[in-house]
Amino acid sequence: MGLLLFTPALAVIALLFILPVAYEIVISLYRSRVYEASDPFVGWENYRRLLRGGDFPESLGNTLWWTVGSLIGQGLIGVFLAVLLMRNLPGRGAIRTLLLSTWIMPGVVVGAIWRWMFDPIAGVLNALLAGVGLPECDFLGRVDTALASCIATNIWRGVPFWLLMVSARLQAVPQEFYDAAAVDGASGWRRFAHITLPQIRNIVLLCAMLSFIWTFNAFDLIYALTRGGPDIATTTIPMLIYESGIRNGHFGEAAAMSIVFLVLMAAAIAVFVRTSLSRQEEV
Amino acid sequence: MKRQAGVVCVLLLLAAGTVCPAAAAAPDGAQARPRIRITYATPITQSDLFERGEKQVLTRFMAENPDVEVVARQIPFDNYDMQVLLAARAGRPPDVGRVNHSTVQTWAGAGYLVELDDFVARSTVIDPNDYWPGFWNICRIRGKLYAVPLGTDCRVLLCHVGLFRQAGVRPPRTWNELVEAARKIHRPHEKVYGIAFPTNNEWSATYDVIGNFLVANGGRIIDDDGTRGTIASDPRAAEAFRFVCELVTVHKVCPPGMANLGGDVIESLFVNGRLGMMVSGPWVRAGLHRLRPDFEWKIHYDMVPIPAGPATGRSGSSQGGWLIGVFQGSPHREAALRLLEYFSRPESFALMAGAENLPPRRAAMSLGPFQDPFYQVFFEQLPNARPPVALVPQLPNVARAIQRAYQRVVAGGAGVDETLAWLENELTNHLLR
Amino acid sequence: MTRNALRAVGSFYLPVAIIGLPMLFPLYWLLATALKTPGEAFAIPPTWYPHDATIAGFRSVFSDGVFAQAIRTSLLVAGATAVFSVLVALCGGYALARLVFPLRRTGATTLLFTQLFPAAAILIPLYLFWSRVGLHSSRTALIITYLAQAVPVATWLMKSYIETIPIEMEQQAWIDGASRFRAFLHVVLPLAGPAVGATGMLAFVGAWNEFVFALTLTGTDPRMKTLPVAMVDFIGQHGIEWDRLMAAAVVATVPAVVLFFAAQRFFVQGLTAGAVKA
Repeated sequence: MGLLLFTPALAVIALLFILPVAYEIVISLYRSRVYEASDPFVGWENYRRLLRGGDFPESLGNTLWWTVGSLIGQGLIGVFLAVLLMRNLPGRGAIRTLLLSTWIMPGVVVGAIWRWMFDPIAGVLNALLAGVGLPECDFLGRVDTALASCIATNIWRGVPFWLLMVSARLQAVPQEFYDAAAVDGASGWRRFAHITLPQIRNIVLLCAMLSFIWTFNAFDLIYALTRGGPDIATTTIPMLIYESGIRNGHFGEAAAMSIVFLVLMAAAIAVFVRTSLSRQEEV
Repeated sequence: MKRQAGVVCVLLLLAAGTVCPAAAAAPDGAQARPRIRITYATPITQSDLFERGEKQVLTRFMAENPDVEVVARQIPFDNYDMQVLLAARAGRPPDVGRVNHSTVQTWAGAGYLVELDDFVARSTVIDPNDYWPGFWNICRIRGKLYAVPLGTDCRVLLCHVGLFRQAGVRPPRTWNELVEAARKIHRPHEKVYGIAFPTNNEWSATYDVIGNFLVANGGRIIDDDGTRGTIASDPRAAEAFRFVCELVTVHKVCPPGMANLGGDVIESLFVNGRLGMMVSGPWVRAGLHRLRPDFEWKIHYDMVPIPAGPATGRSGSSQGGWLIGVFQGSPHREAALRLLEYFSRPESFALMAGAENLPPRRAAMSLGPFQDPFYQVFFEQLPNARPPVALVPQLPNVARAIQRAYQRVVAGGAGVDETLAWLENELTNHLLR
Repeated sequence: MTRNALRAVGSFYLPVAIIGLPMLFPLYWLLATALKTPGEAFAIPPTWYPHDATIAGFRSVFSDGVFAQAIRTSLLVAGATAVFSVLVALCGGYALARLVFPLRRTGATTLLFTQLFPAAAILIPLYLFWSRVGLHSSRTALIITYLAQAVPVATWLMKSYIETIPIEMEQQAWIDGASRFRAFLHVVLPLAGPAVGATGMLAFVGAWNEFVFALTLTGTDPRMKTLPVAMVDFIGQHGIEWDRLMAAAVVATVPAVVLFFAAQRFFVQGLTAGAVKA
C-alpha cells in the first residue's frame, strides 16, 4: 500500500535521475567534443584531467563558501522573520506577502538588476554609501569582494523560501503551548528557545539540506552578476560544468565533472537521510 | 470540511482545464494550399530591431516565394549557440539560420552545416569577389564553404566633442596621443574619466578591449595553426596587452570597476559628458539615442579609426559579425537555400541596416541607409579589421582565458609579464589541446 | 500611546522594518526604474525617484501581445505544476511519514538525489529524451519536467509536515471507526493546510522562475513562451532594454503576488481555524 502511494514519486526518480546519470557516466568515458566528428573511448582520462589541478579545486572552494554563506544568511534572516511574523498584528498578511514577492523573479533578471545596483558608477548601492559618507566600493570587480557580494544577493533571494517554510510549520503549533508557558511566567526568549525552536527543528534541517543542494547547484545568478570573474573568484563548479559542457561543447569533460560532483554530494545526503528517517516512529 | 472539498474540486477542475489545452497539439491555422514551412533562427529578440531588419527581408521573400512560409525562431543571444547546438544534436535543427563567425568552425566541424560550394558557384546573386575577402574566408573551413556572410562589424573610437574641446586636445591617431588625450580629460574627483571599455561578458575582453589594439599592432594571440598561444612570445601582441592594462594600472585614465563594466554604463557616462573616449561599433548610435535622443554624431561626438599601433603605423580593429548557413538534416534544403540566397542580395543588406550590422559586400555599401555618412568611418576601418583571435573551435575557452588574464591584472593586481606567461601557458598546454 | 501599542511597535514593527525595508528596497528600485525614462534610469549619480515618470516602458512591453501571452502560459504551467506536485506529494509524503514499505529508505534518499544535478548537466539528456518522444516543443513536456523537479522536494516537505501531526489524532479516528483514508481526509488534511499551501507555493515559484528548460523545451515559440523567456528577450547582444525589462519584471510579479496573497489567507490561516482542539 505504501509502495503504491509512493509510485508516482518513483517515476519521477527514473526520469530525472537514472536517465541522466546513466548518460553522464557513459559520456564521461569518452573524449566527446561537439566539433570533433568521432568520440574515441578514453577511459579515465577526463577524470585524470580534473585531478591534475586547474580550476576545479579553487572552484570547489568557491562553491563551498558560496553555499555555506548563503545558507547561514538565508536561514538566520528567514527564521527570524518567520518567528517575528507569527504575531497576529495588523498588516501581518500584507507584510508577509510583500516579503515573499521578491522571490518571484527569474535568476537571470535578478542577476541583471543586482549587477546594476552593485555598479561602481551608476549603481544605487554606491550612491547610498556616498550619501552616508562611506567610501565607494567596486563590489563585483574586486577579487576580494566579488564572492561576498554574490552571496549577499543570494541571501536576499533565498530568504522568502525560509520564511514560507518555517511560517507554515509555525502556523501549526498550537497556541496553547505558548499560553501555558506565559502562565508559568516564561519570558519571550525562553518561550522561543524551548517551544519554537524544537518545533521547527526538523523543518529547519530539511530546508538547510535543500538549500544546500540548490545553492550548490545554482549558477544563473552568479553568471549574470560576474560571469565567474574576476579571474575565477566567483566561478563555481556548476559554472565550470556549464562552460565546459554547453558553451564549449566538451561533453566528456563536463560529464566527468558532473559525476565527481554528484558523488561528493551524495555522501552528504545519505548521512542526512539516515538521521532523518531513523528518528521517527513507524506506524 | 465542505469548504475543503470545494477547494479541492476547484483546484482539480483548474488543473484539468489547464492541462487539456496544453496536451492537445496546437493545430495550425488551416492553409488553403500546402506551403513549405522552414524555420529561420536568429539571435535578434528585441522586437523593434527585428521588425526593422530581418522581418522585412523575410516578408519580401515570402511575397516573392509564395510556396514557402518562413517561421522565425528568435533565441536570446546569450543562449543562441547552445540552443541551436542542442537542436542540431537532437536532429531538429532550424532549416536555415544565423551562424556567429566565432561558432562556424565548431558547427562545421560537428557536421551541422551544409557545404555550399556548388550552390554558390551556380548562384547569380552571391558573388564571392564582392565580399570583404577576410570575412569571406571565415566561412571556409578546411577548404570548403559552410556559410555565407550576413553582416559584419568593426569598432572605432568615439570622442566626446565637448570634453575634447575643453581639454584642448584632438582625436588621437597614435597610442601615445590617446594616452595624452585621456590624461588631459581625466578628472576622477569630478567623476569625469578618460577612456573606458566594456568588460562584462566573456567576449568583450577579446573583442572590445584588447582586440582592437592587437589588430592595430599586428599581433597574434594564437598562431595560425591554432595549436599554440603566442601572446607572450609575439612582442606585438604583448605590447598591445600591456597597453590596455596600463591604461588602468599605470596611466590611470579609466573609471573604477574596469573588470566588470557594462556597455550601458559606458554609454551613459558618454552621453552625460563624463567620458572622453569609448570604443564601439555601428550599434552605438541606437544605444546613445535611447539615453539622450538629441545626442548626435558630429555635434556631440566624433568617430575616428582606432589609433595606429606603434609596430605597424596602421590602424586596426576587431571584426565580428554573423554568417548565414543551411543546416544538415533540414527536410527542405532547396527552400532553405533560396532563403539564404535572398538574404545575400545587396538590397537585403540595405533592409537590414537597422540591425546593428555593416554589409559584408561592397555592392550594398552604396545602397539606401548605408549612404548615411555616419557609416563612412566604419567603411574606412573595415579593410583594417579582422577577428582578433584565430577562429579555433575552442574559441569560447580562449576568450574566457583572455578575460581572466585581463582581470588578473586590472582587478587582481598581477603583473603584466607574469600574466602574459600564464596566458600563453594556459593556451598552449590546456586550452588548445 | 498605550503601553501595549509601544510594545507592539518595539517588538514587532520596528524589527520588521529594520530587516524588511532593505529586503524590499530592490523591489522599490525595480518599480522606480520601470517608471523612469532610459536616460534618467542611467543617470549618474542615480536619482532616488523618477523625476519624469513615464509608463512608456509598460506600454512597449505589451505592444505586441507576446508578453501577455507569456503571462498566461506561465500561470498555466506553474499552476499545473503546483497542483499536481501537491497531489503526488501528499501521497508520497504520507507514505514516507506513516507507512512501512520496501525500498522506503532507498526511495527517500534517491528522491533527494534527484536534486543534485545542475540544470546544465541534465539539459542535454532530457532534451534528447523529449525530442525522441516528439514533445520537444510543448508545454506538456515542460510541465512534466517541472513536476519531476518539484515532486521530490514537495514529497519530502509533506513528509516533514505530516510527521509533526501527532499520530494519536489519527489513531483516535481509527478507534472511532474511520478508515485510514477518511482519517487522512478529516484529521491530517486540515492540519496540513499550511503545508499544502507552502508546498504548492514552492512548486509554483520553482516553475514560474525557471528559465533554461523553458527556453529549451518550448522552442521559443511565441505562443508557448513562459515569462522568464519573454523577459530575456529584452537582453540583446549589444545592450539591455532596461525600460522594458524593468516594466516586464514589475508586471510579472503581480499575478504571482496576487496568488500568494490568496493562497496565504486560504491555506495558512483558513483551514486550520478551529481545527486544533486537543
